[in-house]
Amino acid sequence: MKRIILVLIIITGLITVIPEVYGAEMDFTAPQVPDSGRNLLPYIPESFAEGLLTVLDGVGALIYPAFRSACKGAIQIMGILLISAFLSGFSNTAVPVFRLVGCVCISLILLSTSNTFIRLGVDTIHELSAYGKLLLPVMTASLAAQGGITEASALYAGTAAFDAVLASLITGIMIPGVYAFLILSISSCFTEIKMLERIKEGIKGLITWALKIILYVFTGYLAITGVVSGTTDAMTLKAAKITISGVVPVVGGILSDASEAVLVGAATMKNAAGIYGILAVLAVCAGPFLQIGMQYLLLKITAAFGETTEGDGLSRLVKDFSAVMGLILAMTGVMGLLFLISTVCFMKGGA
Amino acid sequence: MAPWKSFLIHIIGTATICAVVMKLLPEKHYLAPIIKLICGVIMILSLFTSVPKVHHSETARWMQEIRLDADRAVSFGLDQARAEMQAVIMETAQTYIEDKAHTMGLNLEVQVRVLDSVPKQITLKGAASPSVKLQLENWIKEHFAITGEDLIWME
Repeated sequence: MKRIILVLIIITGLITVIPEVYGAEMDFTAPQVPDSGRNLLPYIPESFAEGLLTVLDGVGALIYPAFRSACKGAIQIMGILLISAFLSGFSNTAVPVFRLVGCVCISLILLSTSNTFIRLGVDTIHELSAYGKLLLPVMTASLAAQGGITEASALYAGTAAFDAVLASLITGIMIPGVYAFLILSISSCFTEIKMLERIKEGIKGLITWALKIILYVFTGYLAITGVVSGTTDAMTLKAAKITISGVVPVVGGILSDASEAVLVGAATMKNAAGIYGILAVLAVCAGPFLQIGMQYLLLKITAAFGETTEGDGLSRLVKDFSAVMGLILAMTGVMGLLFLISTVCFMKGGA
Repeated sequence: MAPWKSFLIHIIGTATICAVVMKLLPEKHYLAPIIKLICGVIMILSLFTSVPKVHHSETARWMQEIRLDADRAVSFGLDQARAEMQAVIMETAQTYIEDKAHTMGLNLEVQVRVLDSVPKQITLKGAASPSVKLQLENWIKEHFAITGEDLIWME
């Protein structure tokens, strides 16, 4: 979470104003925000700060409904935990029965809610991936127009490959893994089999590890390609400038001025497209992130409450459901970060 | 991704069945160690037999497609930049020649054809005396590296 905030601060620091483009004939316009994020970013803002404030304003309006819907489930579960703890105090022999009934009730309440949030997370990931597929060519073309041909190509290939791998891993393995985690969690709550507990923890660890590794490898790849291909492009551009200035004086001067104008125009448009792209990614992510995050937070609080009243039995199940929300948050966050980092790299790249 | 999905389901399914079997067996039962051993062997076997096969050719083709997409995007950007540059060069060269003609007392319409970001053909429209015409032609040839064939006068 700290890292996400840090990245957002860096992005905010890097970008200040969406520059206006005067008289440019090139067209590198970022694709429009998808429907799901359009209510948070309904128009093209004049500056990054304005866009960010618009998105935050929209997010602020979503906080209360998200909190209310998450609270409803949390209160029901707290009630079950309290009743279970209360009844267990009367008879020690009936504790397994209360635990079984409690497991069934909590599972019934949380399974459909969790399924809704998992679907929401998956839809957001698909939407981000689809938006990224539209934004990437625009950023690549504008960076290439600015002279960063090798860098643009490497950034596009890297981001597209990591996006495809991550999207496939999430939908093909991690989401089934999350469902398996839930099934194992409910089964271990019923049966108290330690092995199921260990497998469940193994799945969770595997998903977390995979997400971390993908993000580390991706940022590493971007750092290396940024340095290597950036140097190559800078040298190519320098050589081109020397060649241009060596042509007949007047023609050379005209060519040099035209080249400079095109580079500046492309850079301006690349920044404008990048800033809008970043805001669009934030607008798509913000709503679902807030809803899932609120559910995650309240389930964590409920589990902590359960531990103090009921003990380790049913509260562990609630904790597992909150862990599922945490995993979905991580998946959505990693996908969003992938495009945010990549867009910032595109904006930083070029001559 | 389907082979990996089935691999995961296979492993989790086997582990769950093994766990249930071991749980059903009383701990002090004389068969418990044997059942544990069998379960362990089954787990190892299921782990190695269901490992998904990743086809190298498919991965290579996928990477090739991404590279082609990247090349297409780069080409589009370069084409746009080239077109923009040609437009700027054309406009600047036209203004430059028109200004020079103006200082010579001429009112000309200038058209510049740009090829590979270099002015290749210049067409001048308007009337001029032979001496001024020659003076301007020499100036254009010197400053724009244009041959006589590529300098067209239309009166």
